[in-house]
Amino acid sequence: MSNTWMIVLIGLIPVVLAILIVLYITKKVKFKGSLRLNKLVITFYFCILIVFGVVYEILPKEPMLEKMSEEKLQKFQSENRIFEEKLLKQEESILNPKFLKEEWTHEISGKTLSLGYIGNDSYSTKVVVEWVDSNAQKIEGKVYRSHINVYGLKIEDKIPLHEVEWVGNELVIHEPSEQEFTFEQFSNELSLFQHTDTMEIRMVRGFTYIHLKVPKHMEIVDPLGLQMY
Amino acid sequence: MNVVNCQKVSKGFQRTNALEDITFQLTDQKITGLIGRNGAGKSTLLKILAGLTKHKSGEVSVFSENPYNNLMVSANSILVDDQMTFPDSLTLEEILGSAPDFYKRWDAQLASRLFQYFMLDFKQQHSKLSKGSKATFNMIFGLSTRCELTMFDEPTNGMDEAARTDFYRALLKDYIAHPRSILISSHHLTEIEHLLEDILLIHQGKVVLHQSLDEVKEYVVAIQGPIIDVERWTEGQEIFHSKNVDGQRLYVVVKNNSKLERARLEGAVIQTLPASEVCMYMTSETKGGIDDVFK
Amino acid sequence: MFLSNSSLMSVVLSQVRFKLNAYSGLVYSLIILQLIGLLFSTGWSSSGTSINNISINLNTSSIDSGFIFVSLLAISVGNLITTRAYRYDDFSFVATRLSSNIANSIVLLVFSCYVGITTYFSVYLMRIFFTFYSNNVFVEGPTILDDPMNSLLTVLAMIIFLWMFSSIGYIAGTLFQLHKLLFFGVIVIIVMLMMTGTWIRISETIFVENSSLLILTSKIIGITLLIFATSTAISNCLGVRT
Repeated sequence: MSNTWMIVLIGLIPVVLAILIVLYITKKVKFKGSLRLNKLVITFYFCILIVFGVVYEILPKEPMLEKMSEEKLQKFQSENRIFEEKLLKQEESILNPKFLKEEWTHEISGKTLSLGYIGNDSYSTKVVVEWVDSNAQKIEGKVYRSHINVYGLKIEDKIPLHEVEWVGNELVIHEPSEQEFTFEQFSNELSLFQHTDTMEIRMVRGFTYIHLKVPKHMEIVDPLGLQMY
Repeated sequence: MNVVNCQKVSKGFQRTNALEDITFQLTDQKITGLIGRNGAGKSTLLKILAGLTKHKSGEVSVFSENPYNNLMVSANSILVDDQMTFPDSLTLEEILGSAPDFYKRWDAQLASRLFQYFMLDFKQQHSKLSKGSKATFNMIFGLSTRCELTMFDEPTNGMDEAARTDFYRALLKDYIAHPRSILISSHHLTEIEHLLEDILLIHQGKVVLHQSLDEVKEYVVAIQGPIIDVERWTEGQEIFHSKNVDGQRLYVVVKNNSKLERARLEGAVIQTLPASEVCMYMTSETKGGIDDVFK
Repeated sequence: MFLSNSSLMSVVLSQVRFKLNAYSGLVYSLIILQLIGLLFSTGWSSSGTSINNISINLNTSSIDSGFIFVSLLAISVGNLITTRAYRYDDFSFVATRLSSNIANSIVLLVFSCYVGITTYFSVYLMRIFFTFYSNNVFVEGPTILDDPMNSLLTVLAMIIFLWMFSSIGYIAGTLFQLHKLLFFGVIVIIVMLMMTGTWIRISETIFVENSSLLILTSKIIGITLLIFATSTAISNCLGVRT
């Protein structure tokens, strides 16, 4: 119980501050304008605020970040899910083409292929291996990334792809370097009245998938467990 | 219909009773003076009649209705006293401008003319007025409403001599032009005597008398003469005041009665008194005067 | 003897007109408080998360802080008009306690409407300012035109809540005028009640379980009317110029 009370008290501090400010203002503001002046101020203030409102709506603004609706987000989520299912089943043909980011082939020397990850969040990347009948040293790879959406903001373009490079026999996946984006949003609503969570889906977590076609005679060393089965 | 009808009205504060067993009626349109000493209960009575406070027991009816929380009574009566307040954010001009909305018989011309006569400032705020100016403004306000029952509670408090004379004159003139029932309470009976038609005398919360001015003047008389004689003449009568003059003569105020005829024949000096003195003697606590304190 | 007879409604209307003029000086406190509320309005609610080593922060500016300020103003104004000076002013003109209370509640409603609408639009001042001076990227949001019903309901709800807050200040003031000790007694009782579980459940049913904003609004209207009626009953015991 004491914890909740502490939180309540801390939450009350800004309210108390607000109360003090209000009391101070109402006591101090003794500006006794004449009646005519008061009426003028009242109407003028009202009109100017409405004018501002209209002006804002009409004003040409810089292009703003788009916000996705709930249905679109759900669509994204299901597309992601379907993609992962299909990929695991290795039904390449049905895969969503827009997720394909990179395509390459690489020759390695030797029989061992290792997977490495540089970054904090290795769970963001999943490697799906398809074993093929081949005696060659070629490995085909396709890099996909499924929908990423945070708070409904269309930021997919802003989030850089994982860099994938070959260092000798090691496939190294680099996490994007740290960046911070700040967005501003205006809300027309009072949070006091919104009791239902307006957004059910807060984040669509997309993953980076690497689909490798590896000849059967090779071995994969996967210390971080990047492979998906 | 009686303008005001009080039956056994009482009003108390904690242990003391400000008013007790008040019974009187005001009929027709007259100027009545509500006279009494400090603390007699005049203001309390007026506030009850105006519907500002509730009485404790008894019946009060103004225009045949209970004045407390009564729209009709409020619209047709007004009490002007020194506690009358107006919003601070309105100038005097605006206050006068708001009145016609409430009082249907408001006379804007009269208000404006009186305002200019007394040289008040239109742009002034009510709370910033001096005591005298405030009283003047309140008086102008009260007169201009032309309410059927207009009550003044010591309206001239703080006014200077000239303003007081002007006020009484204005009151009289407007009353004659537009008759209504006026109830004035005042300490200065001498000043307003010439205005009054009736007097309602209150002492310690009770009604002492309610009569016309002439009747009040003849209510008591003053007898002066040698001590022994005066004592003989006023034996058994109600004595209101007794004073020893020069050590040999006695000055006594008694209720007027037929026995005094004999005293007159015997050479007594009998005078009628002005109403203000009558009231004063009738509401005094002691038989002697202030001189006794300094004996 | 000609007695003028005024209906309750006409007296109330006269009183409302009169009071609106008399209280017009409050607009200055209102403007200052709204501007202060604006200063506090940005960045109040901020969400942040990170994905793929990229942290995303979303700052939301809403009218909440302005609303809190003007709610407090509403309470204080509601209380202000019950003080002696304001109460006595009525009786220099034609008034009964009933007409005064009705007029006061109407005046507070008008006041709440004005405050609600201006507060709602005052955020646009901030938005215009930001649009020009901020370097951050903005997220497009629903405009008033997109969802007029919702905006209208929000404004309506704000107005009604402000009215309720002013009524709370009003009844507090009335009670205080009646009997100071009683006032504190009532406060103590209310605070103690708030601690108990039943109170929390009652407030939940009233405030939280609402399927739509409209239902919440109607409930609040009911509560406010109840509060004003109670104030009227209490004020019947109050003398004037005593």
